[in-house]
Amino acid sequence: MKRTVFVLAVIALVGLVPAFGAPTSQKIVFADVVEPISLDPHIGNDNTTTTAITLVNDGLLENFGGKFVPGLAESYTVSPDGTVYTFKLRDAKWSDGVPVTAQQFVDTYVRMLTRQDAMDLAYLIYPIKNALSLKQNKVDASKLGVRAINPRTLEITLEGPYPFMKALFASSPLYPIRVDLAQKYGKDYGNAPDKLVSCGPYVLTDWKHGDRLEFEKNPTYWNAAAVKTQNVEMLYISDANTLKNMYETGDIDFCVLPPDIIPAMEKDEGFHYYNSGAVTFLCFSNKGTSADRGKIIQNRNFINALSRAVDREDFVKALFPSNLPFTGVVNPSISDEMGGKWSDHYDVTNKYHKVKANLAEAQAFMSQACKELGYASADKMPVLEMITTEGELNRTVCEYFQSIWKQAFGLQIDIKPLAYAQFWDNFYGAPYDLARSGWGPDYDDPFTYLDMWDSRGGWNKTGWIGESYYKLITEANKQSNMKKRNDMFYQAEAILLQEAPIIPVMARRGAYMLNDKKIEGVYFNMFAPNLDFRFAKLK
Amino acid sequence: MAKFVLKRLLGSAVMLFLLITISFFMIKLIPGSPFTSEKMQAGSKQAIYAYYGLDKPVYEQYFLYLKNLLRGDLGVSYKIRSVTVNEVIAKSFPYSLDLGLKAIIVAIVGGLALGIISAYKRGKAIDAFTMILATIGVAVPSFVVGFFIQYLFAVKLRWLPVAQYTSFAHTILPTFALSLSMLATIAKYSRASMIEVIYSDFVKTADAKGLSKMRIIMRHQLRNALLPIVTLLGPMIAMVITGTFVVENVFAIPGLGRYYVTSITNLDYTMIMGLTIFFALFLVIMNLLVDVVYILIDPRIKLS
Amino acid sequence: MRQLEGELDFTLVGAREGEASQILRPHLSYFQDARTRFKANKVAMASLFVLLAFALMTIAGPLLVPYNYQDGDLLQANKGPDLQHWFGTDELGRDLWARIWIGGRVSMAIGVLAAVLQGVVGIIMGSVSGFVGGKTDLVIMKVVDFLMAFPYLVWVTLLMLVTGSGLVPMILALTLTGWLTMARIVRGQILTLKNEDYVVAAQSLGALSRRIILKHMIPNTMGVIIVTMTFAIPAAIFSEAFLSFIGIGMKAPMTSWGLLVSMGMKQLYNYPLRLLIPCICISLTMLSLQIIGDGLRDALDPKLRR
Repeated sequence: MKRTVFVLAVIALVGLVPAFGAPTSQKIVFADVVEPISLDPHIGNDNTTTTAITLVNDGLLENFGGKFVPGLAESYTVSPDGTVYTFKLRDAKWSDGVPVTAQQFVDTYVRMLTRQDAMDLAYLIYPIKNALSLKQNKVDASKLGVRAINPRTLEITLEGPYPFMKALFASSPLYPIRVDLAQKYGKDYGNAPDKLVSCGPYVLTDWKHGDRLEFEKNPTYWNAAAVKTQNVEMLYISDANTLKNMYETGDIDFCVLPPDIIPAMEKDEGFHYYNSGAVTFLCFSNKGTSADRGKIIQNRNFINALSRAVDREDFVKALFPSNLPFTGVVNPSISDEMGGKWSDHYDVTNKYHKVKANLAEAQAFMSQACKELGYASADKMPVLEMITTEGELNRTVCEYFQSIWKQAFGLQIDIKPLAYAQFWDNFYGAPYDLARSGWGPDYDDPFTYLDMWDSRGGWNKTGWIGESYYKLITEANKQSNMKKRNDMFYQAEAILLQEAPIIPVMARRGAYMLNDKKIEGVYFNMFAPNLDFRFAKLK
Repeated sequence: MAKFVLKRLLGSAVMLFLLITISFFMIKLIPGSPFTSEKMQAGSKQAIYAYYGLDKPVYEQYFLYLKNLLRGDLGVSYKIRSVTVNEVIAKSFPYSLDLGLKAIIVAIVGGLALGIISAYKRGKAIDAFTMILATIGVAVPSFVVGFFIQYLFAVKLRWLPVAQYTSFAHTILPTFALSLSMLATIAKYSRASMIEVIYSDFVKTADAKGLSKMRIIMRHQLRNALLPIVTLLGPMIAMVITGTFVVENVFAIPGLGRYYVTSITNLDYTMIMGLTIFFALFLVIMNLLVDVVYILIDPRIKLS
Repeated sequence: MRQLEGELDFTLVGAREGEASQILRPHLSYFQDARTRFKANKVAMASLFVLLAFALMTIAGPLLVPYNYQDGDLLQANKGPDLQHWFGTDELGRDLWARIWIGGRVSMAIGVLAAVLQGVVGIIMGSVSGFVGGKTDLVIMKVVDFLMAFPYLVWVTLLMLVTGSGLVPMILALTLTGWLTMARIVRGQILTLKNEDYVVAAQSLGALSRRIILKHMIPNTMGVIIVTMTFAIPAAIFSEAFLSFIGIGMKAPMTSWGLLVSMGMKQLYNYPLRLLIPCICISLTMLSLQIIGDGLRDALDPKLRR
């Protein structure tokens, strides 16, 4: 009896494990702290999801090291007014042998606009003619500005000469899918190797959900000659410390670092900063959690007072040594569509909001505000509520502002950290006073920072309606002269900084680990996928 | 015996049903939802809610959930659109089970062994080692232990792999981290009861009669020592379940514990429900098994 | 045998008056006896001192420095321990000495309050159940069985998700889920005592149930109650730390040892003290409570009375 127990125990101790995996061989191993949401390009475009999608899929254009090069389209022409793109597709095939055709693109975009369950990304193709109308069911699918002239020629008509469309065509949400398979597998599409076909450099060979994805080189990829590594693994490592440890022991070859572990890895070999293009700002709601609070946060002098009391340089130095102070709306490193960066010609630093704090000016603004609102001083004002997403860093950020404003004015703020999902619920629905928020660019063009404040749709939930603002940006988008367009954008930015209820705080940088001595051919992008390793090779 | 088991199963079914009902309504009370995100467009929320049936009145959702439950369908994860709750459980449970089983075995065998040996070699080095280990296991919070041993043994000393669960070597650190606090408790208690026995009369008598000490201990005391451990088995299983939440996270093991924590952070209703039900079901079955084993071991217990 | 030959010389002494009923040592009540035995347990006494030291520090510690746990001076951020900031500062320039001891207040308060409330609820439910018996007993025990059947932290997690985080919700959640052990133990004791002669006697003399419970049963159960409550404190502290660690416990601006450990883990490489100090605090507190609990159990064990 005892011996049986003993034997059973030994078996259990050694037992089930061999079923779990084989030893690793020469291959690229990438890890991230979240899993891809799906391999269906229309469901998510966060960095992890996009990284996985770009391995198995390809677009009309490709973003290769910052340049937009031909992908599935071997060439394209643009009409003189910049609104019609004609793509000539190359002779490419899906991994099941079916050729890539123009009609597939048409079907894909129609699906994107008409599907019921995951419409988060449909807005990205609103620049296409009638896309918004199709989404709102005002027209039928045949009116969409995407036409298959013949199986290898695709014509896309835009609402205006948006120059950032090139960037969009190279981004994963605009990748084509096989709608016939998507309809066959429904919501399972893209979740397993047998429910997906690939037209990209790799095929999915296994997806152990909650653990890893495994890829193998796709022999039918049109550019298979450029793919140097046979196997790729994407691991899901939820703990930032563990990620760090695995990089140090060489278990993973490179990774994008979650923000809270950046200071710990700064001195490690292979550490690189990058400009993520993301910005952090505080915004005020129009309504407020009560009528009197609403009046306070709408007061321009109040907003200016709060902004002037913050020393953005100190803030960044203390809390986010990897970030940069920011006083504008458009991130300086975004493309200006004229071959350079926004900051080459436009700089709004210190024009309306200042990098350094000025207590005297701040207090002057505040006393003016108090006079206008009818309070003897700021500490007599009702306690305002500041919402933020959870997390140590976010909490610390709010506490910083809380203490600065308390010390400067006696103003009292209550911090309310909310779970991620709950925060956005509140932000869109419930009244709030202040919110700590941010924005990441969707594509490499200044408009991505400006269209979100358009009160007619989309993201702007502050309640601020800037008529002159959105008239200006709509005009700007009709311009085919980029300089004129940028000038108008710059004016629009100024309007925002002077009238809209926002306080810019900082421009975010991220970091990634990449040991150049061990691996080559990994490119960094400001946009997802941050790390492009499709053609990488271990040394 | 059969009647006992049947009665227990029936009772457990009732309790499970109560649990499902209570959790379902409690989860509905949680503020926020799993669908909101930065780039949500107006109108998207309603459409998604309609698609998943979340706009129906609560009691209607409840009955729908029960209906699906009876078919064995736990629903789809709202956050990870790519997989159903059943699939998640089916794929992740073996990892947690393997880890948990190993941890319990190590805790029992290791705890007993250390306890007995240190009682025997009281005051020597092994005794000190056991006491230190027991102290650490009892006092240091379990979520810190895993972190430290990972850093020490995997990163600094490079003796063992950092994370994941793909070979036997990979299982060593997580098993140890998970089992430590239980091992400590068992070691302490078995050491204490062993000391009592070693210096007790009947052992002295047997010793005087010429029987070897080890044999005496093994034959007489081991059986008695095992009994309290079997009673501890129920709570130990519960402890292991909650222990996996942290250990799986630190060692990147794709088990249920890690899913549970992420589904809470994501407010993934169906996942939270599904996992809660699964844990509960598992624990109920385990408790029943433990009670059956207890009865089998100790003939004195009546089936009242 | 050989040695005694010839030396065997017993003479009859007789009985000495009065000595028969002399009391050889003073009569000790149950609790006095327990206290003596506890005091003799050196390790337990040492733990008691450690615990009291920590408790004292959580009360007095923050008062010793002019900083408070919330306000930070960014110019002083990330300093190591020095004469001004005995434990250094954190990334916001907040004094860590103050934060550790305020965090200690929260952790210990939760520990003690939760344990006491769990105890009170448990005692009430257990004694009612045990004393009244019948249907009431059945119902209460069914509820206990139900709650015990499922992992404790799962219940607490669900509750905290609904109520949100903070001191009061946490104590509430811990109380609602933690009274079961105490209830079972008290009920067990009451059932045993119910049949004791003196209880039956009191009942036949017409004493009210409540009086019997309060004056006879509970004092006799005191020992077990005290020990159970003592062990409940570190369990509650651990639960708070665990919940804060996985993110549903205490939130800003409040801090607790659990939260400080979770924050410290991310900064171990650059600022190891931020993890080590709260970790040591929790560990020593929990350890001393365990040892004291063990000591109390031994001291109050009637079988060991001399």
